Formats: sequence, C-alpha cells, structure tokens
Amino acid sequence: MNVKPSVRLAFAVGCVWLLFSNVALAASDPTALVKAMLQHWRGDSSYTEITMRIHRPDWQRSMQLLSWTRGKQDALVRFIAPPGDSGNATLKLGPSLWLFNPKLSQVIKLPFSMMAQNWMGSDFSYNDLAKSEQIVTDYTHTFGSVKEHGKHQIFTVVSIPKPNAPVVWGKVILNIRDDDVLLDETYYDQNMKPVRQLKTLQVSSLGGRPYPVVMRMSQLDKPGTWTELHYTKGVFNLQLPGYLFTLSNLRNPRPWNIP
Amino acid sequence: MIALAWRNLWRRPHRTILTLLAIAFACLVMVFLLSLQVGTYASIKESSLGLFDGYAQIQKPGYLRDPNIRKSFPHTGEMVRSLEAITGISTVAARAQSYALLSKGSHSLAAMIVGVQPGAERRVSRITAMMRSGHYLRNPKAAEIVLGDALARNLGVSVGSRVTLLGMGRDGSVAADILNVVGVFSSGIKDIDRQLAEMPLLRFQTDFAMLGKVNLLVLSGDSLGSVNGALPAIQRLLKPKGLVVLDWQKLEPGVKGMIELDARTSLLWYAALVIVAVAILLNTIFMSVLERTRELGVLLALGMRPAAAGRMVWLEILMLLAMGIVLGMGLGAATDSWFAVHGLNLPGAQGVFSRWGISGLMYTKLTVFSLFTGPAVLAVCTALAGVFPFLHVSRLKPVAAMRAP
Amino acid sequence: MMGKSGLLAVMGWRNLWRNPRRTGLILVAVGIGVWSTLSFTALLQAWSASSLQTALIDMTGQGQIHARGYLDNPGVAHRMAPPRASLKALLKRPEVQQWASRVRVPAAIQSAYETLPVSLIGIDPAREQGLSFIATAVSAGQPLASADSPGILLGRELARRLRIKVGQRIVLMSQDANGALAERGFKVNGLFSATRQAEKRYVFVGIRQAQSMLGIGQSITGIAFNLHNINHLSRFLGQLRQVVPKLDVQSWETLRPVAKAVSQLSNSFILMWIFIIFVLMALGIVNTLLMSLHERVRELALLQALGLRPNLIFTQVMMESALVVLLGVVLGMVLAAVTVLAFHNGLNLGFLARGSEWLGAGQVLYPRLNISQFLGIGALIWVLGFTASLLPAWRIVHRVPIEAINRSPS
Repeated sequence: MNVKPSVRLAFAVGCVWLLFSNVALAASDPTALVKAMLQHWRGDSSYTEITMRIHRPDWQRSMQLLSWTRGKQDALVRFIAPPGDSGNATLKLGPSLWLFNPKLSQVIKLPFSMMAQNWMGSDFSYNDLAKSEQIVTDYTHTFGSVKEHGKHQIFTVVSIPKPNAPVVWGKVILNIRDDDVLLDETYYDQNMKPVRQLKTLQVSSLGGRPYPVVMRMSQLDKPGTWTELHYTKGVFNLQLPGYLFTLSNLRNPRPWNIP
Repeated sequence: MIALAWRNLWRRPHRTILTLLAIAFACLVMVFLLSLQVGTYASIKESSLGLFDGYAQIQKPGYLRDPNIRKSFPHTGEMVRSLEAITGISTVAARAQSYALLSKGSHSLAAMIVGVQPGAERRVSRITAMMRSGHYLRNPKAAEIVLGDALARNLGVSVGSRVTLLGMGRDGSVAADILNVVGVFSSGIKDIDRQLAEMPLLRFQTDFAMLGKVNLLVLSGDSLGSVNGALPAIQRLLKPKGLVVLDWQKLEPGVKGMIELDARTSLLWYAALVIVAVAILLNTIFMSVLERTRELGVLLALGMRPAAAGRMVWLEILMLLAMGIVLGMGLGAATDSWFAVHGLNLPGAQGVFSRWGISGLMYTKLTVFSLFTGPAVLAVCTALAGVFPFLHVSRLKPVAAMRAP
Repeated sequence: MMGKSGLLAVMGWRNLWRNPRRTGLILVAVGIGVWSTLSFTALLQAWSASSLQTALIDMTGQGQIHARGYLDNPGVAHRMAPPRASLKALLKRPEVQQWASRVRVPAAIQSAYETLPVSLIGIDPAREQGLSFIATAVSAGQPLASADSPGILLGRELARRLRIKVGQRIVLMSQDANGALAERGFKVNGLFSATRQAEKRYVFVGIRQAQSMLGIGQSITGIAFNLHNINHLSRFLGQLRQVVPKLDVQSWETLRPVAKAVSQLSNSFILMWIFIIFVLMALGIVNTLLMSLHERVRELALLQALGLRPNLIFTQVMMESALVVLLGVVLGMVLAAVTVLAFHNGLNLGFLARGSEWLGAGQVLYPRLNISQFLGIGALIWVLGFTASLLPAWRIVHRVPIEAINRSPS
C-alpha cells in the first residue's frame, strides 16, 4: 500500500522512540533496575539445583544443594551431596534463620551473634542469605555508566547505603545487563577499598531465561579464596506448597517433586 | 685508723645501737617488702597461668593473634616424649579448639569448645578441680562435655542434660554432635564461665575432622621458673617443625601489665623510704659529729690532719652501715623464711586472690634481688651522703672546735 | 608556781637558741619525721582512693538499681520502667552527687572485616559527668552531644580491630523486646581511651537511640549513682530498697567484689607503710634527743653544782624538749601541708603506665588535707618525743654532779 512519507517517518520515529524508551525507562530509575535484577534472579518463587565449590589456596570442596525461594522473605536450602554434608538444611523465614543437621536431627535457631559467620564454610555468610533484599531497601542507587558489550548494554549502578541502614559497606557497585542479568557486584569497605566481589563467570539459559549460571564470590584481599555457585537446574514462578517453608518440614522433609 | 673509728663507735653504745637499729630496721623492711612483692607476683603469675593457660604453649606461628582451627599440627607421641624429657617440663597436654554453637531446646549460644586430654589436662589446668556440680571429664572417647556455670545457666542445662554442638570442621564440613553434660565448673572469671566448654580431644578431633591434628600443646612444670628455664631447649626442638613456643608474657599480657604497673608504683614508695631513711641517718650522724666537736678539736690540735679526721668519721659511718646492713639482712632473711612457710594474712588479700582461685595468704620469696637490692641502695645512698659530715669535719679549725659549747 | 614555770620556759627557750646547730638538727629530725609520715599517709590514701575511683568510674558508680534477674542475664528481657516520682525524689536529694539511667545489653558490632561481641550502653552524656569515665575519655572525634545523638563511641582498640575510623559506619546487632534481631547502622562519632578491657567491650550510643533500636519505649535497664560521701552509702541503699522493693539495689561492694578486696588490701598496706615510717622516724628522733641530752651533761652538772635543784633542772630540760619537739612538729606539719597542697591539682602517675599495655589507666592522685589526721599524728609524735626524753633526762639530772664534771666530755 502506498503510505505517505510523513506517516512512514512518524512510524519510524515512533519505533525508534519505543525502542529507546524501554532502555530509557530502565536508564532513568536505577532502583527499578536493581529490583528487576533481583526479580529476574529469583522470580516470585524458584527452585534451583546448585553445585557449590569452595576453593582455598591449599584445598577445595564441592557440595550439591537444592534451593527453594518464595517471594522475597522465605527460602529453604538442602544439601544432598557429599554424604558427609547430605541432609544439612537452612530455612529462612522472614528475618530468622534456622539450621538443621541430620546427625543431631535437631533444628537450631541461629543467634544474632553468629549471623556474620560463614555459611557451611563458604564465602557466603548467613547475612548474605538472610538479607538478599537489602541491596534494594537499604541503599540509594545512581547510574555510573552505560557500556556496550557485544549484543548487550551493561549498566553500572552505584549503591550508597542509606544513613542509618545496617550496612557495613562503604558502597556497592553492580554491573547489570540490559536483560536484568547480574554480571558482578563489588563490595567496598568504608575507605572505598574493594573487599569482596560476586562475579558472573558464565551466562546461559536456565529455566527459560538468561541466567548467571556460574557465579563466584571471592575475597579480594585473599588470593585463591573463593566460592563458586554452578546452577545446574532452575525452575521459576512455580507453585510451591506452604508446608515446604515450615520448621517441621525442615526437620522431616516431605517428598517433593517439580510439578 | 680503723681501730680508732671502731673504738669511737663503742664509746657511746646507746647512740651507736640506736643508729644501728635504725639502719637494720630500714634494711629489714626493704628486704621483707621486696620479698613479699616478689613472692606475691610469683603467686599471681603461677595462679593465673595455672588456671587454664599453662606455663607455656606451643602453637603454629600466627595462631595467638588470629586463632583459626586450620592452624593445626600433628600430635605425635615422639614429640611429646622429647618435650617431657627436657628438664623443667613435667606435663604436655594437647588441645584443639574452635568457636561453635551450643544449643538446648530453643536456646543456642556461641561458645568456645576445647577438646582436651582429660588426664593431662588435670595437671595443667585448675579448672578441672573447680567443678561446681557433677565431675570433670573422665573418658577420652565419650560423648561428654563440661561447661562454665554462666554458660550452663544461660543455656538452661545442668548435669545430665544433653546439648547439641554445631560448628565448622577443619575442612569446612559441618561438625555436629550431641553431648552429655557431666559437670559444670565455676572458675570465678566471668569470661571463662560464660564462654568455655570442654570435651574429650579424641571426640573433638572426630567431630571437627582434625585428622589427628591439634591446635596447641600446653606445658606445665614444677614452677613457672623451671618452665621458663626450659624454653631455649624447647625452641631448639621446635625450630625444624615450624612451631613456636609462647611464654607467660605472651599468654597473659594483662597480668604482665598489671605487675609492671604495680612494680613501678611501689618503686615510688621505696624511693621515698630510702630518702627518708638516709635523711634521718644523716641527721643522726651530724648530731653526733656536732656533739663531738670538742673531742675532734683536741685530735686536730694533737696533729691529726683535718682530712684524716674527716675520713675517720666517714669510716665510722661505713662501719655502722656495714653492721646495720648485715643485721638487717639477717633479720630480713629470717622474717622471710618464716613468712615463706606460714604466709602473711592481710585483710583483703583473700578477696583479691580468690579471682585466681588461690588462698589469700601472701608468701614471701627470698631471692638474690630482694635480699641485696634494698640494702645495697641504702648503703650506697648513705655512704654518698656521708660526704657531708666528711666535709664538715675536714673544715674544722682546732681552736674553735675545742671551744665549742 | 606560774612565775617559776614562766621563768623556766623563757630560760628554756633561750637555751634552745644558744646552740642553734643542735636545736636545728633536732628540728630537722622531728620535722622530717613528721613531714614524711603525714605526706606518706596523704599520698597513700590518695592512691587508695584513686584506685577505687578508677574501678567505680568503669561504669559501676557507688550503687546501681536494676530489675530483678538483670544482673544474672543482662538483656532487654529484664528491663525496668524509668524511675517514677518516688524514686526520682530520692535520687534528686542533695546527698546524691550524680545519677543516670542507662540501657545496657549484649550486642555484636560488625564492620566490613570483623564481627565482635560488645556491651552496648545507651547513655545520657550530660548525666555521665563525674559518674563514669566516658564523659572525659573521648580522644578522637566528638563525644556524644545528647541522649538523642545518632552516633556511636568506640574504644580505640575496638576501632583498630574493626579497621574503622571516625566518621565511618558500623552495624550493631542485638535482640529486641520481642526476641527478634534488632540491627542498625551507626556512624562513629568518636573514639575513647580507657583500660584495654573497656576499649574492647564498651560501645556508647544515646540512650534514646538504644531504646528505639531495641523497641523498649521509655524502659531502661538500670540506674547508677554516686553520693557525695561514700560513707553514707549503706543508709541510702536502705532507703532505696524501701522505696523500690521490687527492684534489685546493689552497692559497688557486691558489684565489684575484687575492687572491694583491693581497697581493703590497700588499706592494710597503708597501715603497714605508716608503721614503718613511724618506727624509722621514732628511732631517729629518740637518738637525736638522747645525743643532745648527753652532750649537755657537763652544763647540767654545772647548774646543779651551782645550786639549782635537780627537779627544777629536770623540769627545764623537759620544757626545752617539749618546745623543740613541738616546733619540729609544727614545722613538719607546715611542710606536709605545703606538699599536699602543691599537688592540689593532682599528681599524675600516668608516666608509670607509659610503655606498658595500661596506657589510659594512668592514675591521678588527689592528696587531701585531713586536718584531724594531721593534728592527731602531730600530737602523737610530740608525745613520743616528749616521752623519749623523760627517762634519759631524769637519769642525767640525778647523777652526782662531781662525777659528771669529772667525766671526760665525750
């Protein structure tokens, strides 16, 4: 059909505008971008299977675990390999953390004095597990820069802790891809010296979405000290039964299958 | 000259004896007080170390500053034997330790869990004898635990309860166990009673995947001195193994600081005592010189040179000093030996020393230092102060002196 | 009789000054003895008081009030209501020097590098003046301005371990009124210097900040107070217990039994030292007096030969003794008073702590002029000197005069 040039021009402009507006939308609200990143990472609910590899200068350990998350508050992690660690589980219900150990067949509530301890000997602390939402709620965000990398744009978000927020870091810098995939998260101490970093080593498809399937948390002042998470399976926004996130299930896991 | 000086002294026995008594008393006091201090410090050191730390410890370098369960080393019978063979060392007790979670029901608390060898531990730590209820660990392999009383109270456990232990092993794996509380101890030190729990070493090593390794060796001997004397030999033994031995000063820097502060403060009081004593002695000597002015004048008129007269007076001072000091040291040593056996019971001492679990009796300890230092200082100061009477006498003019009232 | 003793007194006085050297030496002996005894006593007492003060100023005070069960298990579960009218009235009495409410709970402090256990203490800075060390201990940054101040004060040693500087942020974690985790970020206002233990364990925030973080409203965990006169303490505690029978009222003696024992031990040592100085000084004075009397044998014998009755000579000699010792005592007391007043602004023993780990525990001694003590000791020494002269004076005066004159003057 014969469209008038002015209409075609308007259409073209409109397309371009639409194209950029998405980016512009995201580019105008860094907090929204961080929220989107978290949402992409966890969905409204998720089930993931992970191999956790702990690396130290003189030794290395590998463990396999299953993880369920519900909303922003609740999470259950259960270890299934190796046999020595199998059966250990951690349940997060709101702000509280509960531990289960099969040898003790007992559920223990984690006291606040142990919150900064390493979880299962890894470079993640119980705080990291309990406060995954903190990056949104306790920081103010601004954009650092935008870079082009292959087919994607990468947004640098500078997060500064709010005045009375319970955050020990001086700042946190996130690099998020335009498809909401987290590329890295660097934690700086109060002197603005980088201390630890969560870095995505590989992005591929998981559960139908681009996902950081290999992530490494390293201590920047201790070379050869890191923990890697390898996501081997992921299902997002699935129906999770309520009993999954209870203390009794923590103690006596009921059989569950991916629906 | 010496004979003359000697006879001069005994022409006025009352005066001489009183001065002697003053010198002897000052010496006695200093010997006694110094010995009391030395004895008390030794007591404090031995009791605070004997409570839990032991007289010396062998560790991996860097463990003291930054304790980490991974800083461990193999515990071989051969090393223990060679250590015990060194003179001065009587017991070597191995320990492995880590912070872990203890819980009972809904209470969980972080505590310092120490794996010990029950037999050897009894010989190095007094806590083993401070059980408030139940008994200390007996079986090296059993699932037993003893806790401080405040820790037990806060957890809500007592003898017969079972507690859950949850921690991180040496290789990062989960360390978990269920243990029976067989005893609750009360050391009197809040930090210990609130945080310390002990369990058998062999079981600890299994739970925490130690692979037979330990974090430290605690050394004990007949006395702190004997262990300190053995340190060089121990260091030679440890060098090829990459381990270090820590002496009491590194183990209890707080005690070291306190003793130093107390020693420096008492130095002030001793200095004041010496000054007062020397002033009084000098005054007495001047008085006696003044009293003898006529007699000295006669001597000078008879041909003795003034400087010689001065020297004679000075000799008298020295002889007085010598006698007084010997008497004082003798009396001091005698008093010391009595108190070294029977102890001095000063009100308040019991309360102070109970915190380290020892009686309130203060024992003196006679050492070369405590015996000679005080009298030596007094002697030197007085002998130097004797310059003044010497000068005074050497300036006397015979005629004026003979006419003195 | 008056006339005669008056005459003897005048003669005695002039006798003293006929031989200024001898009199001078006696004066010096007595003077030094009195001065050293009095100064020593004042200094040692000041040292004992300073040691006690150092213990009390470490967050204890002379007495404390808590809810029952708090001392065994210090936490928000055992909090108490703020002081009501009756308690406040008692605390506002003039005999109370300071009192302050506090909120003190166990907590954990976290930085990017370390998590450490501490004792969180919420204070009203203005009320802590004179009550605890924090009012004067801030060595870097700023002290807390008020009970609402949003900042936190850490010990230097704690800041070093956390690798934190003034102006940076740390996170405090504790348990709130509902048993849940209470955490908040605080900016470090300043650092304080104190004993190593205090620097490692205590962190201070404004009391209202602590209350809001822990969700306890107006509640507090305890009250500490000081009286002007520590001797009135037990009576005051009795009155407190009547006004608040449901609360736990304790004195420093039960709160810090080791401080009490140290105080007792110090007092024992003080007595011992005073005894030592006294004996030393007594020997010196007696010796000096004896020598002075012996020296005057010929002169006294001459007086007797001239007809003066022995009793009168004896009286005169005793008067001289009494006068010279009195002069010496007065001289010693004046010197001692000057010494004590010279250190009126405090004798700083801080140099003793230098180089040891106890930097920050430096003691300042405030010797006090205790008039009754001065007069008492002075009188005692005067009596001693007087008594010491009695026997020798009697013996000398009652010797046969010829024998005395024939005696070689040595």
